[in-house]
Amino acid sequence: MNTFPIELTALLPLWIVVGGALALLMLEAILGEEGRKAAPVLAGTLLVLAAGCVFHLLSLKGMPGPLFHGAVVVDLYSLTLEGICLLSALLTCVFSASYLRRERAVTGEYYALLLLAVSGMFTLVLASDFLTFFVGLELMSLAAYVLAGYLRVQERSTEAALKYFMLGVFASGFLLYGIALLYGASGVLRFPDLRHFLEQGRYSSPLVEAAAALLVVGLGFKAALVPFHGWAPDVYDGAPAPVAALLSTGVKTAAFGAFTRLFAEAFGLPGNWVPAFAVLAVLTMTLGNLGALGQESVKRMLAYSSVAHAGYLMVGLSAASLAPTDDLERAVAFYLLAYTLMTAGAFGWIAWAAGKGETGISFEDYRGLGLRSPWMGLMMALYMFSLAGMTPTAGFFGKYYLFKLALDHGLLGLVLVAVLNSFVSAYYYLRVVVSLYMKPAEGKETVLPSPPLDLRVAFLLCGLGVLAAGFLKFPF
Amino acid sequence: MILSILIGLPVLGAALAALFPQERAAKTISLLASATTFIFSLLLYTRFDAADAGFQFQQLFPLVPRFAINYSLGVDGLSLWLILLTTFLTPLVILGSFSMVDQNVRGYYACLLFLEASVIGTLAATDLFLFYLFWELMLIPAFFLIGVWGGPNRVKGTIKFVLFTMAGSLLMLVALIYVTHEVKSFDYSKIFDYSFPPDVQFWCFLAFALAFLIKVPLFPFHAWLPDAYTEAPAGGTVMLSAVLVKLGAYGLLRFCIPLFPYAARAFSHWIMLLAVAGVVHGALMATLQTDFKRLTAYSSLSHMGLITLGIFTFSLPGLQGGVVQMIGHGVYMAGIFLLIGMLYQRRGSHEMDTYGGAAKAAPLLAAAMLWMVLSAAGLPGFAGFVGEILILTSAYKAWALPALVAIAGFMLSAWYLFNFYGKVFFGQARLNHEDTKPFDKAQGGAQGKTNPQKEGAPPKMPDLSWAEGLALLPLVLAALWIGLTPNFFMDPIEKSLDLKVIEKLKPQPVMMDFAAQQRRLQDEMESNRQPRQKNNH
Repeated sequence: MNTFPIELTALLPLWIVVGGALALLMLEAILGEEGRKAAPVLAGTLLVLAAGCVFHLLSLKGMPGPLFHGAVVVDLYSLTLEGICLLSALLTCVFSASYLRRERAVTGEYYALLLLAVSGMFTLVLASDFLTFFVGLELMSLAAYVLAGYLRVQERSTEAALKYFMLGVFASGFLLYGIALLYGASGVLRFPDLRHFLEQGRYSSPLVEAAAALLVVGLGFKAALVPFHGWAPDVYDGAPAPVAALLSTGVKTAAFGAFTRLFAEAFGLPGNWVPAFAVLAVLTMTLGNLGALGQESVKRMLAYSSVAHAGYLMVGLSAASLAPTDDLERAVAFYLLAYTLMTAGAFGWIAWAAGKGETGISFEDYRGLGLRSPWMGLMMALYMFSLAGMTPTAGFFGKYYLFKLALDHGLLGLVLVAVLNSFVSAYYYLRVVVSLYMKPAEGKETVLPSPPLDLRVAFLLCGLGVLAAGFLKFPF
Repeated sequence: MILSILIGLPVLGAALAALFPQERAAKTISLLASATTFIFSLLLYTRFDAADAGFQFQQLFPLVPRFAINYSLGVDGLSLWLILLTTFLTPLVILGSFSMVDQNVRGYYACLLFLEASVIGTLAATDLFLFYLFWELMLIPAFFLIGVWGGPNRVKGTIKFVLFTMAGSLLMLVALIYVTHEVKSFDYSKIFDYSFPPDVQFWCFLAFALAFLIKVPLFPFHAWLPDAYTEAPAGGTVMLSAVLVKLGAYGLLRFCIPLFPYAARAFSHWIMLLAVAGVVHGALMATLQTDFKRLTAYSSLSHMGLITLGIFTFSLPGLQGGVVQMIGHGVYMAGIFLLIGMLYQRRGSHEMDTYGGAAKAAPLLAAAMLWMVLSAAGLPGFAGFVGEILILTSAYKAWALPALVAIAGFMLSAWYLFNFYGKVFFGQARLNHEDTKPFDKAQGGAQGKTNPQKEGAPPKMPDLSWAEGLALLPLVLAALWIGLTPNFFMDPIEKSLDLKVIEKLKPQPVMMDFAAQQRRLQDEMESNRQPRQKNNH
């Protein structure tokens, strides 16, 4: 029936983005100005193509499973995460097109870097062996560092890139140490082999425990968990808004997806890790929310909110050793999808609404805007309601599944803290809506320029997605 | 199918009202949509079978199949009148708002209709998850109604309202997850038949009750009420006081008491005490107000305390009185707040002292207000009377002393209501409007309008317009109807109240392993509580 080897077809999305990234790099060199103009369209087309492949693979009856001698695994979970990363990248691509035109910073390599980051994300979520895992993580991170500092004439952007890079490589160091220790203890690199090794009662080996701790620290940096989150607000705030959308959704999705797989499948952690994860969850939620409360800039508020949302994910992850892996992965994947729709939407909205040089990003700048530009206002309000976890948005369903998972496995105290945090967060998300609709504009009655068609489609996609995601039927 | 139409029609109307560019079209569409909804809802009454305590007009299809969450609707005696009250009041509110709202008109009517739909959904949901979806959904239109079209301090009012409600709901969500995990179903009937162990009942009761008592609101949880009521636009206040807060009482009747009867019995005395405290506190605060919208807000708080008191007597007359009082309170509060909106529109103030002699200038308005005030004060023959007398007598039977205090508190309502009426409609204005604090100029309220009046000039005030009169007439008639034929309202719900609430409260044959635990908990409660009815076990 199928003459191609499964290795080629099952990883087709990856081949498309890798090939696309290389092609985009060449494009500008060969075609010059023409290539530069075609870059966003080409990148978008390739991403849509890859998304089509992912959808096709998801609709197949059987999953290909482990490939390349167990270096990668193509299953429902990794395909779903690929889909979410693609969604994030596609939204970023659309947001960037008009943003870069406005900032007069259009280049072909921006989109090449975007696709390279996506290929890193793919490798990371597909990884089923520590080497692939690390290569994917680095591929993704390196592209992300450059993207964060893309507007190199802006001080904020450069500072963000530098911070991101310094702490990022530091974290990679931790991760590599962890992997090395684990390899020293077990002599294996593949996740299933490690699981097999650990299940023979070696959990309590100090080498394994130290390795696990180092891995948590390293991944904690990447996923911006408190107390390893110091870089996140500055980076998300300083990076160009469309890049912030990618960093806080796509990159986070890949990092968290891999985090979950690593601890749920490879480690299968014993129960005594629950308190450690729970503490991380509580710290991340609480400090993220407290940080967001005091912000005057909506963009920075979103940066802190992104930290807080990692905390909600950790609530689900705390049940990793108690809940069935399938349930955990489903809840995490759904949350990441909801989170991507609302956070990318919000950052993209800011990218458009902030105006040239991102000058208008504070709460005050949006006063009365919802009444003057009803559609734009409505979209942002939807994202905010979803971030606040109000029904019937995707944000509510996402939180519901995570909290239910934790509660069903007896983590009542943790869920109560999470609920309390969710309550606190409602205040600052609603503040945005209050600014948009309930404060009269002082002085300047700015009306947003009507966004171009592609941007409108992207906002509408996020808005409708946020409304409908809870009720849709997903393959995973 | 009727229920889905009742939810769908307002949503459709809201979408059309928001999308049509002309404001006139938005008004007509929303009035038509809500009136049609009301006419459809009459089918609920005509086809309702009073002998059946189960859910009627049921409809079910899977919503989120993987988690067995269903879109399942149904109506029984507990929800019948509240749904009809909602569909009855919404068109009147819309009609009454025609002359009051002049900014962002399309959004206003869309929000009202959207609110109606979510309230009907909350009342009709028989799946706990669906109930929660609608319950929280109500917050969004209410948030906009208060925040966009409200008075000068509207942001404070709306944020308080949303955050208070949310705090309760989130804890309820945790309890809801727990309960549905225990029963492995979201279906109300399945959970209804399940009996939870006493300690689970305690915590779950507290979590559910907190959400509903904040909504009612019961005495220490009422801090959101004065601000939200005062700041909301007239139509929003009507929806809040006449419809939204009833959902708190409905939640107590539907969830707290039948699902956790053991805990409900254990906490009943505490809640009765708080209810009485609410009656007295609301009444005392109302006597102190100079702003008559705030005065009415506190009076509403006081009367809601009475309803809670009736519910927690756990006797059929008390419960029936509670439900009838809910309908009556809905009707007369809607009338009063609409009239207050009309007064504000004419004079731009809520201060009693800036009025005076309004009865001469606007006799019809004064007559309508008198009618509503008489109903609120519980005069025999009017809407407030039957519920009040049933509640107070059954409360007296259940626990005499607090009932006496509640009676005293309720009697105050005649004092402050007539005082308010006298000051506004008779006599002379004590303050010229120009002398009052410049509330609208300083804070730039959306409603802020100055309505200058010359020194010493006789109060000029146009009487009711046709639209206003048309909005008030059904309320006037309904207030009388409820007062004269209470049985019409009490008969269809008797069976449901009896089988779904009272029957559940009778001590169940307890499983052996629970018996010891129950006795221990009973002793603990006994030791730090007032004497209780001994026939409880």
